[in-house]
Amino acid sequence: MFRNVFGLGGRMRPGRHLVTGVIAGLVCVVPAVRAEPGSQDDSPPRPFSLRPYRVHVVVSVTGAAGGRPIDADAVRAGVHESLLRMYGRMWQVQVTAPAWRLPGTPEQIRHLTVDDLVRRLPSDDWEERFPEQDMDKVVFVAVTSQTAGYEIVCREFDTRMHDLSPVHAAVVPEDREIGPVAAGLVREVFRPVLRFVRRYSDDDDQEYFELQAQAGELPPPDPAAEQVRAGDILRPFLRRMKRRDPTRLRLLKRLPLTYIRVTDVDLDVIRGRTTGILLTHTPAAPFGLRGRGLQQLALRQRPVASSSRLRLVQRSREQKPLICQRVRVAWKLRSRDEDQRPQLPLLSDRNGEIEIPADPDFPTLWIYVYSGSRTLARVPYAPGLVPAETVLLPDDSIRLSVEGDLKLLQDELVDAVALREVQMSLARKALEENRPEDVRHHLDTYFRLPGQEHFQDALALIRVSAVRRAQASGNRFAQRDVEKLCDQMEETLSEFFSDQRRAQRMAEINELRVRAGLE
Amino acid sequence: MRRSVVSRCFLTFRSIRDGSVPAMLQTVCPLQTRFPTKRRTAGSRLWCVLLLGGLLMSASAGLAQEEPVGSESEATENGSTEDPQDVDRDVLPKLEEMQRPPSYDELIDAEPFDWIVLRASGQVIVCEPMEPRPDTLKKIQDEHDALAVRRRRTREENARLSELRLPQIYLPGDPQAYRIRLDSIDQIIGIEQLMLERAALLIEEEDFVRAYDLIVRVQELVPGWDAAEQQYIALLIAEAEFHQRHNRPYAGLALLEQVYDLQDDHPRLPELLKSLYDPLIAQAIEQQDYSRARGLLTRWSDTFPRVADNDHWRKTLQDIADRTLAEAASLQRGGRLREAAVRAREAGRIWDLPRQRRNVLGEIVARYQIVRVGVESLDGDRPFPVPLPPVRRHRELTEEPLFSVDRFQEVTYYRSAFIEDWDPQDLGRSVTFHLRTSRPWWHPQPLIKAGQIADALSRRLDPDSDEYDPRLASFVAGFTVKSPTRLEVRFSRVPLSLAALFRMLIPAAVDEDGSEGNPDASAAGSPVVGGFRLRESGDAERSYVRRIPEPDGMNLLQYHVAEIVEEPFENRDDMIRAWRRGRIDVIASVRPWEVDPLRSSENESGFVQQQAIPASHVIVFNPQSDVLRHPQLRRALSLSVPREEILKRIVLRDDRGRHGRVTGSVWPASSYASDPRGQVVEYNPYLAFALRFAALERLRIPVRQKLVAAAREQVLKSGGEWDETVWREQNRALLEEATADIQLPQLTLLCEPDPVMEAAAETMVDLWTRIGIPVVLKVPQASDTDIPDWDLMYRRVWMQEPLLDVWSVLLTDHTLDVNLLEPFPDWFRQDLTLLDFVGSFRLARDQLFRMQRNMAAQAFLIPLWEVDQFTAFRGQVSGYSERPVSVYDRVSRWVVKP
Repeated sequence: MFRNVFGLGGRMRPGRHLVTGVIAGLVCVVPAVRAEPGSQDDSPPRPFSLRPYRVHVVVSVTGAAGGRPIDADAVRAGVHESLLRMYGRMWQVQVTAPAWRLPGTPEQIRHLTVDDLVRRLPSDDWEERFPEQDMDKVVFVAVTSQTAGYEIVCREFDTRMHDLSPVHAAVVPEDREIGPVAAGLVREVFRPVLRFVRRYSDDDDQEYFELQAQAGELPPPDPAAEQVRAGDILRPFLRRMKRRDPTRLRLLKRLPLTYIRVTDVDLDVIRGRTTGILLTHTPAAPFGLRGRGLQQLALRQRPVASSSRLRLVQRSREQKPLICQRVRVAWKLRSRDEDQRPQLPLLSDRNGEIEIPADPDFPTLWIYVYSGSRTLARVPYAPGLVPAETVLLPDDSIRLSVEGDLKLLQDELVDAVALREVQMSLARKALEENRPEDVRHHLDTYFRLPGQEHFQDALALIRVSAVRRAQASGNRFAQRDVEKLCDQMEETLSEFFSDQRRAQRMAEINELRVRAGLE
Repeated sequence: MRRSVVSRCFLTFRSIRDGSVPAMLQTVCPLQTRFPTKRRTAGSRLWCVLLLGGLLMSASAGLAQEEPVGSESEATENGSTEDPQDVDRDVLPKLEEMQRPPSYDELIDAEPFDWIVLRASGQVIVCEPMEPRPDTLKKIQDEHDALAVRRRRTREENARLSELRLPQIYLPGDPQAYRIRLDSIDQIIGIEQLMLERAALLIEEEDFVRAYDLIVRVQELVPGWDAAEQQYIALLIAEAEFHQRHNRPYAGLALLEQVYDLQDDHPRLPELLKSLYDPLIAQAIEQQDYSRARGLLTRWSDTFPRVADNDHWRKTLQDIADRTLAEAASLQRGGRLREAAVRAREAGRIWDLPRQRRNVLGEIVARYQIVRVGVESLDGDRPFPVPLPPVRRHRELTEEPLFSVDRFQEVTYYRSAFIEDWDPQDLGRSVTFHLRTSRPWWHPQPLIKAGQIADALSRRLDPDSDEYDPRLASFVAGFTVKSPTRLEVRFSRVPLSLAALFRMLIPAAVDEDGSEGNPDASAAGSPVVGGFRLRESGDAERSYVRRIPEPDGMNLLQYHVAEIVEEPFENRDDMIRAWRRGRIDVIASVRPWEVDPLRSSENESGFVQQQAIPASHVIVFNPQSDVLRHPQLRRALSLSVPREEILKRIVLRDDRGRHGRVTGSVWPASSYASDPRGQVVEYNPYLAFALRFAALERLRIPVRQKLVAAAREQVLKSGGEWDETVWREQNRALLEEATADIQLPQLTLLCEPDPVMEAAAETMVDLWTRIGIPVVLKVPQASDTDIPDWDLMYRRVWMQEPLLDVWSVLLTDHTLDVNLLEPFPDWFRQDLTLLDFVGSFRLARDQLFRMQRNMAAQAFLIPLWEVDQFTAFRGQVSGYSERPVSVYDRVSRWVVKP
């Protein structure tokens, strides 16, 4: 077997047999040691790519008032049969009726939350309704008979990522269609799981991530049930396992607004080996890390809605939405790429929300949030995956208000400069027309216009007031930004009121005075 | 051709001097000259007497020759040419030969003269005017007779007597004095007498103007002469009759007034007055214009108290008033209160009723009180982006929001006609509204249920509804109807001003009419709850009645206004006149220059009340217009308006600028939101011009940049070195030429249809055009159907709550759509949206101070001035607020006394 497996053949020297055997043994043992938690038996865990999904499908059958009668068992049997046909060995599926506390009606499924299914205990343990040791996925299916047909509502829960999928629903007229349609909905809600393998950069220094789909080596009989394809979006998660028991989860970290856009799926050599680009708003990639007891998984999720709502809130005060925030939507793959179509300008509404339309040609895009002259955030987004998402943004209110104050000060400065020139021009004209009194008048007016001292005082007032506010709110970044803005303004003032210019102007004025006979 | 009298007489005396008979007289008895004469001897006196007698006898024997008709005299019409042959034959003309009276032309500018008619011959000596005047001969004779009968006379009296016996005369143009025997004089006809005679003839010919001229001349010559006055009176009467014949009674009456002033017992006055007044009064009565009839009678009596013979008319009007009042009483008994009140008011206007009948009138009018309001226009249909005053008044009467403004004193205070009480709980995160369960009788609006408020809230919180209010939705987390009279509202954020946030209209319930006893079924199905409903609308007036009338059977003193009638006046003078005469009770909006005259002590018609919220005049920009993206252009527009001058000269028409003030904010200067340190934008045409230039340059920058970029590319492609500054300098002319056709866009200023505002707008447009900003003025007309495209709008604002209302004014939008804020810079958007999140009144005020400064400095809108608002009430109206917040503030409590 070893020969066959490891391509060994021919006669070997006896010493090498031992070495070979040790090596072969290690090859067999190591995967078993590194096997994913959840395998109950003592047999060596299967490779991730060969491990089927343990899917528990909970099918509840209810009848609404005036609805047609429905055979629950037949429904479950039909669902089971359809799923088997669809997924084959890829799934180890179990179809059951809901227990007494499980969601049974479509409304209950729609209102289901993660907290209903898993809870963090004070002891840092997890109370799981559906333990991940027993199953990888739980799919809730509710079938309700109505007067006009049967409504089927479906939702998937991933026990490892503690994540609920959006609701999928359908209505069928005949009961014999329930099974296939429900199975189809199950296929739609099913979100394959991939595990991080490696990251690398190509010749153009573009970084790529490789992941392996679970049961990737077990192709489903139904080609439509293929797990991943190019263009799909993966949502990454980090699972920190317990040190003493690596099979138990200690910490789950979601990575919101971070996606992997699938560029390639290997269906030949290593089935299920997926290559993608990580899109994230953080400077450093939060995925593809190294660490003991760290599991880096991703869920493939496809858009279910035609748009999503993104809510912009202040990081320090989440209850305060950022209203009328200027946002631009850019359609491109990486943030450094060129825009593939003109950017869409938006303004957040009174709830701080913007609605981003989903586009099948652009499953991911980039959203830029601006505040005055500053780009407040640059985040990737995949509209349609989840109905709503929240973006936490820094508090830029102090800096923005200073920007406004400085704008007014700048306009005042420009006005003063313009008026000075006007007065000088009028004085020159008066001199030409031999009106010395008017020359005096215009020069007096010139000196009454706001000068450097006025603007310096105004700038100081703006600076001090804003810095105080920043310090009071503990916002060091705002303080730094304010200082920077005020310094820039100060430079402008220095340029306008430089000694050289002042001297030049005074010389000009003195000459006017002399020629007008005022001195 | 007859020579003129004067020339013939003159010639006669010249012939005398030349050596004919009068010359003989001269040698014998030197005629006296004008200079003081020497004492004469008795002998010389005797000779003079004899010669004079001879002269006179010869004169009477035919010295004055009448020139035969058709003589070959060369005299002209003026008689200035002498005929030597006629001189010898000239004799003094006889009176009957003379044109008496002379013509107007001969008299009006003539030097005064007298005709001395000789007793013996009837001939006339024309001389300079003698004294005393008038009635010269009589006065001389009387004086002579008085002296003559005295037995003992003094020397002076004797001398005087002698003088009187030989009065001195002067001939025209002759300094020599002559004497004539008194007893030879038949009569002395003075020029004034002749003038009066000619005037009389002119009067007969109806040439009143020239007759008047002559009479005035007479009065100048002989002031205080009765005859002149009598002739003048005759003139007035004749002219009055003339006007009466030509159907100009008022002109005739004016003349008769003068007659009355001069002679109040003139015998013709009564008949003439009657002939003039009777048709007028009869016509007024026929047209049922009893005010006019009454006015005429009053004028008749007041102007001609001694001769006013008009009792029969008084009786006529009295009878009509009595009949009308009886009809009114009958209508009231039949339950037709409105018609009864209308008829009763008419009866009161027809004639003063005696006390008993006045009481009846009072009862009828008190039961159904109608207040008539004078307005400038009822036309609110002109297409304009914001409601015009007629629409505002209509809404004020027909719509009652859940919370309305109670009073305005720096801070706005609210009241509610529907909510008894409200309890904020949980630190303001929820509130329970307790609705009224009983309604005071004077409330015209019905009670509402909690479900109706819930319905209104639902519509406002539903994003798919036309009434969606995103601001309210951002505050309200949910609500629960606890009971028909209790509603709990929960907030996601605590609002700073709960009442201001809930100034919403409540949909009317379907069955409100039946349950509230409103007999008028037309009120059913009204979209919102309100106090009054429109009863009738037409071009002449518009009337509103209470939705729920006050119940019958109460004490009359408890009733309030039942109906409001708005009457439009095109002419403000007519409106004020109608108010003074009591035809209307209220003037809805008094112009600033009318305030003081109406308030003056002479006016006892009523009161002028100042409203609490002045009208802020402001120019706002269309959010869809590109103007908002050009800060230099906006500021140029703002800086080039001389606010003080336009306000005083055009808006207030008062150099002292009372009742108005220039302002730097869109809310009232007395509001808490108004920064006391806030500055008004100063008029600065220099800076405006510079900014206008900057705006134009900014428009040209993109084209220039394209040229620069193309040139750069070319240079770099050819391998040369690129220096933009140098290239610009070298190609300055090219750049100028390339952008010469780029000019500032023409802007459209839309102005509220108001004559004062239009005048101010025209001035502003003219000023803007002068500094090079092309602006065209548009005022919506009644025939327009759509709102024209506009860039700027000159409008008035009555801002009740700056914290919440500034948004809708700034953007001319009530949907509170945040997308309209896109043209504004981020920092300003933040300022505006922060208003919804302030947690304290102090922070709100500080934020509003900041916004006031920013809006004015950046000219996001252009505050101009604010004008105090006034309403005039007649004395019969009471119950209005001391400082009403609007025209119809607390109108349901108004009382109109008869």
